[in-house]
Amino acid sequence: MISFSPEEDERLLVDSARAFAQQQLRPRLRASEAARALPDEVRGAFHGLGLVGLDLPEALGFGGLTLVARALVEEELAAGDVGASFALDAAGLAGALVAALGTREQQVRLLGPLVSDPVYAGACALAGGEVACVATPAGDGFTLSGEKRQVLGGRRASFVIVLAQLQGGGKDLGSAGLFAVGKEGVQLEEERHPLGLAELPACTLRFDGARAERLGQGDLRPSLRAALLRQAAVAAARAIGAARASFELARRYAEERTAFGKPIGHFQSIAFLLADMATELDGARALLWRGCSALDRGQPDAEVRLAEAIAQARDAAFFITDNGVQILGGAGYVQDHPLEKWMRDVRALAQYALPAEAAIGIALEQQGAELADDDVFCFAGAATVFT
Amino acid sequence: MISFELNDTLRGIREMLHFVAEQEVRPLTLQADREHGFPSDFLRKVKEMGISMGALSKAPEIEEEGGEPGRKKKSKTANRISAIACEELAWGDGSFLLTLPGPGLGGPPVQFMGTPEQKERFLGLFAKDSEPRFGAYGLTEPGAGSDVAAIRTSARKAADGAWVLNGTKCYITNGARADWVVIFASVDLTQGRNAHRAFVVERGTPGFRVGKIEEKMGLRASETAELVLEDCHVPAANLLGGEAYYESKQGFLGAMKTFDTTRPMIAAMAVGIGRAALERATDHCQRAGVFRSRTLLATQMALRLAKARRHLEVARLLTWRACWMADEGLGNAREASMSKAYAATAALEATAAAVDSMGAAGCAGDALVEKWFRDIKVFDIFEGTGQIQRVVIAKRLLEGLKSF
Repeated sequence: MISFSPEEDERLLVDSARAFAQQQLRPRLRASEAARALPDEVRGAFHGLGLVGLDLPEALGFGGLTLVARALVEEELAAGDVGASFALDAAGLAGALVAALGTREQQVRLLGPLVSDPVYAGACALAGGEVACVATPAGDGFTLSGEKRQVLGGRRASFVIVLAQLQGGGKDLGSAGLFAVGKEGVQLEEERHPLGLAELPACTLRFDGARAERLGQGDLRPSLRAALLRQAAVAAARAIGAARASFELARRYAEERTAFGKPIGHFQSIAFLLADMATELDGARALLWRGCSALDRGQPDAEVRLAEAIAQARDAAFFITDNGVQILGGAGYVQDHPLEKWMRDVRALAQYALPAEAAIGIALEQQGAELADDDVFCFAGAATVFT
Repeated sequence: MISFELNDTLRGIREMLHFVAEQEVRPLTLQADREHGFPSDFLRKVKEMGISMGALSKAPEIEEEGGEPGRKKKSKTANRISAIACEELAWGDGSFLLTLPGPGLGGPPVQFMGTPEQKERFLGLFAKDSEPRFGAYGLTEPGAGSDVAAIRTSARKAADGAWVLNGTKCYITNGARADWVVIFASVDLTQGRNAHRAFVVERGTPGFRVGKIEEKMGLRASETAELVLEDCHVPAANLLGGEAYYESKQGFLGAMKTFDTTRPMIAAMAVGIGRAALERATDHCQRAGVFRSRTLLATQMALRLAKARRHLEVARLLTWRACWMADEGLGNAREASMSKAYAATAALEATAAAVDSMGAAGCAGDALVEKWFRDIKVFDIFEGTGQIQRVVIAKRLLEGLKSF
């Protein structure tokens, strides 16, 4: 039956994520941004909460929880600091792809350390660089050469999942393969001045004969599409978390800051804006819950529901974080408050992790549009992988 | 548990009402729009079928797992059922729901404020015979729309204990055909809301007459009337709740409390109309090949429809949340206003996109999308304008905000 009430165990998870986010992440927000990483002790403390890989399989030692539960937790983490919520996700899209496509042996070997080691992490490299990534058979594995861009968290990654073309194979996405690569011999260049999400900076990776192992066989597009959508739902939850934090801070400020003899929130221009921000926030969250719930239940409309939720979360987060800064005025623009950071973070989040354009494409498919793979995968840069 | 599934009862009600909307209401919708009402034979038939808002709100309680171990928790579902019902029936025709025989918007104040005797007398009426009967709600006046505290209709006590009402009410849904109307009046025009009283004024009461019937942009099948009270003598027994009720300053609250349950219903109706328009437009565009075209203009239209569909889904969920809260007994004034404000604009976006996607064909008098576009505008006006919804929301967001 229609209900908006989380389960008791979900509430407990939310409480512990909220306490951690407000006590550990929020106070360090500027320091983490400047360091372009979270300190190891924070990652250690987070690891201790057991929230890593919350929705990865139980059989591998993870939580095995629903996407709804994951979304609830991610919103809380991001409400502390959205950049940190990305930096804390040691599994990420790489984890989801290994869980979906890896053999049991690969899953245990590549993902197992996530359970025991707080600084072990994966990264995922889909977007192409100047030189196409090509995998060449060598012995019982492959060697990988080429360049990948926009690899979030490339520096701290212990392994990287790379989308590459096979030597002598087709150049289209359907013929591409996914490969797991260690960091040995990989050249790395980190983005020094990112717009946002500085806690997990993007990198360019250059491979020159790096040893690689193949992940999955055949046409990867269905698995890739499913994993990307799932990870985008997680990013949507974080966008909503950032929006909530922005709204909450702007709301409090509007109660306290006076102008023309009364709190600015008592002017309709500000009060109505806050009312719209609250409505957009609640609406985007409800749509995300609906999409996650549909996926958890394996419903046939899950993909389009999630796609709508992703696009809505982006729009709502842009609207709310922008107006959060606006309500604080000059105080919102300077770095005394986190609002300007969240506005930047959310914009960057949308580019790296929230494929709203592709999600809109999926919604169009539902309407009867015929899309090329490029339309669905362009967001991940996958379409440009062979340029 | 977070869930968006309908239980079997709800699914059954939705299917049944969708069938009625599609088979019975749609075929009449254009005629009703042009003739400013549904045929009374049809309304009688609807009543015989047992379709009324009252019947829907008497929905059975459902049993859910939860509460103490081994015991099932009973949950109210009336508001969620009403939302589903409103969406389906408005999908058939937006005016139809407002034309359904029953107490209409006059029902909730009688429920909330009425004495047992009054509830029996005024609400019992609707179960009695097969004639379609109506109630109505008279708050708005020519000089008092959003600012309901500014009503000028006066009530004074006559020597015989009866009340004498003077004033004019306007934009009253079913005002001319109603068997009774809940009229809000002031016993002291200097005292604002505290002086408000609600009276049930019955048709035929001396000094009570119908003024003009409005010609409107849309919802033309729904009757909108002006009501005039000239030294209208209302029996003391028709003061809602009796005099004691008003000693605790609840008069105005009574009028406002009504909105917490009706606003989500208005939102659900808007979603139903918006959905109808998007279905029609999508169907048209599919046949016209718009979605297969890769031209910029076609793509732009496809994107616009997809966005409207997404916003409509948000509206539906905000509505369901407000209804779920009401069923759970949680205060939902803020969420009710959110659903209504959002749904009204989302549905306008949907109907506008539908007209535009069909071009000149969408403007034709027998293309239903032009009717839905006309019908939907008032959803951002009645039951509190979009601006009033934002006042309600803001007062519940900002500490210390009493008024602007």
